[in-house]
Amino acid sequence: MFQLLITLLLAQAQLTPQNLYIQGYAQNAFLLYSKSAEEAQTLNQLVKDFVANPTQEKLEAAKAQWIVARKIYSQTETYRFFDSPIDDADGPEGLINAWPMDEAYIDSVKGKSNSGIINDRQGYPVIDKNTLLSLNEKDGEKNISTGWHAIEFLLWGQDFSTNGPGTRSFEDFVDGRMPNADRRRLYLSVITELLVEHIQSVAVQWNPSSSNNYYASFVNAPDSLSKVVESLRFFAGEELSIERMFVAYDMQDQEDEHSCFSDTTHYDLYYNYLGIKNTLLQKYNGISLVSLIADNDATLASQIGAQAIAIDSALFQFPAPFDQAIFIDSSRETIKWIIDSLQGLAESIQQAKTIL
Amino acid sequence: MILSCLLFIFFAFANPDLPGGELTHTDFSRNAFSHPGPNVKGETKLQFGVGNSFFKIGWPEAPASTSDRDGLGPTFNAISCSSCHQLDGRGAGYYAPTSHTEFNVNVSLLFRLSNAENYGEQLNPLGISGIPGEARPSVLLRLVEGKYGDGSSYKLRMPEFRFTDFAFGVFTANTRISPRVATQMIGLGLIEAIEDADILKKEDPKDQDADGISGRANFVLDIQSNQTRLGRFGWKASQPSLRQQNAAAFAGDLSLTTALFPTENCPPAQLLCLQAPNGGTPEIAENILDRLTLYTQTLGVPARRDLTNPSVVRGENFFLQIRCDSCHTPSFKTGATHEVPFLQNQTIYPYSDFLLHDMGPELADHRPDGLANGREWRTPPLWGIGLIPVVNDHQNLLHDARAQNVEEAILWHGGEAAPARDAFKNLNKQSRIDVIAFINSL
Repeated sequence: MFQLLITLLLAQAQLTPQNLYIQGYAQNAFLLYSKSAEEAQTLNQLVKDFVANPTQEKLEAAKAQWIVARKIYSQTETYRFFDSPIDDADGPEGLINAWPMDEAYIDSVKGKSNSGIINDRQGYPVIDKNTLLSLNEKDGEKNISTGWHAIEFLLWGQDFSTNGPGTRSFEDFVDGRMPNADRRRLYLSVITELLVEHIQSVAVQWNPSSSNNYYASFVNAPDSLSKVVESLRFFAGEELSIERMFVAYDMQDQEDEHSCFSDTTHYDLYYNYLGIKNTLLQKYNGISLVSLIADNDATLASQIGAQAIAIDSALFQFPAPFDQAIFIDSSRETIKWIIDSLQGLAESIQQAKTIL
Repeated sequence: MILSCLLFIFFAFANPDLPGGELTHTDFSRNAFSHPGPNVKGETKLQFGVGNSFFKIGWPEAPASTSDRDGLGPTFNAISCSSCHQLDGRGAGYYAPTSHTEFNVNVSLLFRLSNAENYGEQLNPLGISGIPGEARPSVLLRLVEGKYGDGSSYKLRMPEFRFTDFAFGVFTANTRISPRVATQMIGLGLIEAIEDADILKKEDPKDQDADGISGRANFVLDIQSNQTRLGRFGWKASQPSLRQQNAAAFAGDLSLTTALFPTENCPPAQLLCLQAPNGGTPEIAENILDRLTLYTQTLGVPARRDLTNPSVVRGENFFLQIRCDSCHTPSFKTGATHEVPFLQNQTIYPYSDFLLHDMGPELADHRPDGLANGREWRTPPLWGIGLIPVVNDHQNLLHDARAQNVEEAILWHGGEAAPARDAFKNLNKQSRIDVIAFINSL
């Protein structure tokens, strides 16, 4: 035992700053995915309470927890975009976070009162995990029917107002008040359970105390740091700034936003960014990515630090809700400033790639 | 000094290593087909990202809360452009075999139809909730044997398509079916930026130079201007512009309407299809088609690889010697008039003349398309061909994906290309490997 400890300490002593950072980064991934799974589990419990005896209060409690859990999940997205467990070829990302929702594939919508799996007893006699997962696999050409936004759609309902989220009533889940309420209750609880399981399946891959999971290979692979840096460049410069912000800014369509039923897209954006910022600035095992950059180019490192903090405060004061902000001139200026600044940050990260 | 500067300028602007001119990049990973040209910057690059979003993300059926993104179907082939052009690449055509040689047809292979009044001009195997798909395609692959000049033999797969589960009656004896697989998206804007005259001067419909190669232009209707224009996109060069090509793909493959194609693809026999709600009139707003078109115009081209490999160098000589370049024209220079300035005045190496050629009974689909007859196909550009396995994990080539690699594609050439094919077959084994190595370096 003592010998083992010595060996571990020696191994630790030989770690380069890069290794130490990568180890800390991976440990933090485990913490965040575990926290995310925990919050999703709390949501699952509140959904179970709600479907057991639907009331407006219980619906509100589930909605509030969806927002809490979603904020943690949004931070984990900094661990995407390098074929890690969340979005490698077999990763559950599509099942967890698919967008946009094909609402009419799941339930009735305005203009199609009988649509969706929930209202099709003949076509889909059984609603359970296996059925929903197998539907997703069918041809790969059916829209996905699980994940955050499917839960969001069932909790909030469609958003027809310009100044608030969807206003689905708890009565949609009460027998006799709305057709197929029993199947709606079942559908909601099945997809919430699936969400928990899928996030857990990612968390275990990052568990530092396992020896044959993704964590073990990641901390020992020579190219992990360059993967992390490239994923940050992509997330800031393409996914967050363009896909998740500029598209809505440019198209000016009210519902071209990720959390369109709950009108909480501004949280998605802020907590996505918080993940990026922490990966850049937070010290893991005493070392941050910016300090690694500073070892080679102090000017570039302080530039990245300044850019990261400026974007953070702008996003923190983000003009919510996003679906209205894209129409208001003053808010549009702020949004465009953030988009351009994220582009600038991505360019700095690109420079850092060449020196790390 | 002056000489070296001149040389530098020459290489910077006309360099076979940089097939896409200033739109050439050097990412050879599985994202090799997904980058804008490095010269595409500023607002255009942001707008490229918007087009990418609409290319990549699946379209829900109507009505959906994401109202600018709904309207899929009622019947359709795929839910997004990227379903077939995965990672902006090429479709495989067939799934893993269900029996020894019978395959399911993959989403990336579609069927154009003539004389199938209950189905319209394209078969849509899938439907939104409550709407049946039109029919289920599958393919039987028969093996055909052949021999090289040196006596060694080879086997090729010959596809025979079958259709079952017809929703509106079987096809008739008059029905004409043309299978078409999705191709890689690289460098399309550069092809659009070539002046008509530069393509047309390679035409030789009556083969007046008696080299056995004709080369005909397809002239097609440009819907926006209501004029006949040179066709240059698609397997039979049946679309005159990327905008129209994209709108036609939205209409045919996803059944999404645009100002150019405002009518839902629901033939009179398909009552449920006709009654289904739509996603707006049209379903795709003009600004979305603008962005999507810009995306397809500005996707860059990966640089060539393995240039100094002796096999590649020898292969290029054989390629020219056996006259592959009669149709696979190595180079063009784009004009100075394209609406996207980044595409102007680029020396490019697409290896195509963008004209129609008789490819013989071997590849005939027997279905005319515009001026193209049932034996003619447009010369497909060869750039990026060697990276298809990296991006898409296969190298299935030709219009119906029957060839599994460059060699099989060459061996399928017929008609005007038969002499070049036979010359290839008569090369010795190492020389054949060299030709293939050269093509895979493009």
